[in-house]
Amino acid sequence: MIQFLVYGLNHKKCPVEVRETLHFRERRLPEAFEWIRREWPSVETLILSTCNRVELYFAMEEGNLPSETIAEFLTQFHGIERSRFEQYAYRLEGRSAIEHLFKVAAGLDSMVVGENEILGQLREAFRAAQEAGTVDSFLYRWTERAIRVGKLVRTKTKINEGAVSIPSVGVELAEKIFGKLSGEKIMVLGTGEMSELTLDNLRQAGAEALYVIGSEERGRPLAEAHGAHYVPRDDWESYLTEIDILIASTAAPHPIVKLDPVKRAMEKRRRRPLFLIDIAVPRNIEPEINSLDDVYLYNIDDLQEVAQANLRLRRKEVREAEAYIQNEADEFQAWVEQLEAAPTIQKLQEHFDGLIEEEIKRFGSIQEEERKRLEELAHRLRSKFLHAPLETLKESSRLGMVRRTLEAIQTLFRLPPPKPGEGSERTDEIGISDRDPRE
Amino acid sequence: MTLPQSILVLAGSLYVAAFLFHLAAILGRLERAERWALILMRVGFLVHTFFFFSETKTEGLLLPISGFGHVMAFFSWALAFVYLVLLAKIQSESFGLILAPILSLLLGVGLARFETGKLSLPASSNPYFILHLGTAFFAYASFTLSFAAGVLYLIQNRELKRKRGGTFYHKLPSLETLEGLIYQPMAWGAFLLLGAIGIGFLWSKSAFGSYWLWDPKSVTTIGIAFFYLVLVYLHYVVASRGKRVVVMGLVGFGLVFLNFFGMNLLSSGFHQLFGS
Repeated sequence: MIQFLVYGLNHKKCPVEVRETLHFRERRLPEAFEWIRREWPSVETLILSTCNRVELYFAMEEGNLPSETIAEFLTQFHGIERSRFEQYAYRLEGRSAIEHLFKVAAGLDSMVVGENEILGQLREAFRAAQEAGTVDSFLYRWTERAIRVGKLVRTKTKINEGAVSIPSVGVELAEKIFGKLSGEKIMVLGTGEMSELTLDNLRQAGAEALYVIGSEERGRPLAEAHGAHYVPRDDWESYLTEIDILIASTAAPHPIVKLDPVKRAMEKRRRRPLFLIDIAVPRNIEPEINSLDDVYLYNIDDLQEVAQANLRLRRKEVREAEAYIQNEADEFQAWVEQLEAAPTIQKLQEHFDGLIEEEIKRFGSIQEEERKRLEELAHRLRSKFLHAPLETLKESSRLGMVRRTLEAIQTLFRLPPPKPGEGSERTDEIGISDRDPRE
Repeated sequence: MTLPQSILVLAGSLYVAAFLFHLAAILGRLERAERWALILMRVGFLVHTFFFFSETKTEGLLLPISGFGHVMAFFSWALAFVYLVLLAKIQSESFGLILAPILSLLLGVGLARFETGKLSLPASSNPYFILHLGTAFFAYASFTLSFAAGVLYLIQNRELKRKRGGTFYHKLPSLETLEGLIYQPMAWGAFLLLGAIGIGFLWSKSAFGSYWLWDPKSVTTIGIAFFYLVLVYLHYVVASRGKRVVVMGLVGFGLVFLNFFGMNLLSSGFHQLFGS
């Protein structure tokens, strides 16, 4: 019987100080895979280790992998006590495990719902496991399907729409004002980490850094790094007419961008829109400036408000995304169950063939033409007898009840139970296709 | 109900259906609603176009405008033509949401007073007259599109000022894009209206023997054309931007509306295509 299993910890329950101790660093991954190949040679394994989760995905045709064994591996490999993480760990099997990987790939299990990064991380984990040789047919199908589900959900729903981080909200807003960014001029007031991140994002989107205003020792290197001009602190107001976007994040205890200079600048600019991003706390830009026409001022709370609104929109899409995941999990499970049914079907066919051959032998020596007619009749009867059980099996696999049906067939026809490993045989020749239903 | 009226009812119903689909698209209620809305708009436009072909044949006029119903039908057709054909790239759920009800409303109002009868103006089959009417109506249609973009600009501007990231914030184009969609049709409209005025002089000469006749609508139309030309100049030459000029554009459209409907209803004269 094919087993799918997940064992792991994620951001929902497990604190970061525990997650970081269990994180598989890239350089230690080969060592981990070597251990897995040695200790669990018949188990297919994938390790997904990101800042928000450490998860091990397993697929196996026989036997099981107890949680204690997996926890022991983590304990020995990372050199931490089991009691530190065991309480946060979860174990999912079968359908729940299948759905979990699909949800992870779709970004539904992420801290920021619908984020795209996880799909890349899953691809990378898949590649590493393939290179290490711990992926065979089942895990390959499962992960490949999960990646497809991740893409499908992002295409069919709006789960990844709308910026949800402060720098990306800055870019989204700029694009709502100026359209696709192409050379809009940015001035940075102050040299905080967040302002640099926002500047990076805006530049990547197509805007251009023009001036950096700050202290000589921090402002000048930042200006040089972004191909901008360095401007001393006291001499920046005159540049308000030139720029399109201003990012303020100085440590000043009071507003330094005041209403009147902006008002004057707006007249000189002939009302060309001006986007002001105030990331500083206390605020660097007088809030009254937002009342000016064609000036769009966003402070850190406003940016967070937009990010939260976008996140709410994404959450609305979760139900639709889950419907896709259910559908995909149904199809995947049907494929797995059809695969599991293959040995029993094979045995049922052999059983019929044996009976037919036995009955034909009773006729003793008959003419060749007579034998052909008998064989033809036997072939037709065989097909008709097998039709109903095969259709029932197909239906059962769609309903997730294939095991019960298989047991019934085995009991009714007194078939021996399948041996371990028989499930991976191809099933095309015996009436049920093992092809992935989406292919 | 006559056959031409039935055709207009069908076109109007298709525009109403398109509006409902646009609404569903913007509210995110129906998958592929936007696609269906655009299809319905286009089919509505084809039916609308068919109406003019059939009326040209029936009425025996090159441009079948012989009564209030025809005037409304032609104005809405010109608007649909500019939106669906000349500015095909701007077709979107937000524009459709404004234009589909305008088209239905114009057809509805026209159908409510659908009376025909050839215009009793001199030289109304003169090519100058046909061109004069055609260019004037296309100018008005362009101003209507510019107006729709202006309304969307103000909505997006309000969304950006409110800082809530609401539905319209996500669904509407950027301010920059909307500005383009305000001034491009506005410029077309201004020059078409200037053209209509020039052609009107020629028609006046052939119909009444004089290039210029003192008529309230002639005076206000010249005023409106210059008003729009000033706005176009401010945007493209002086590089004035922002909300103020957009609001002036909306005021301009208010003048167009008054000029088109008000003058027809209140004053009498050779510019009265319908009214008392």
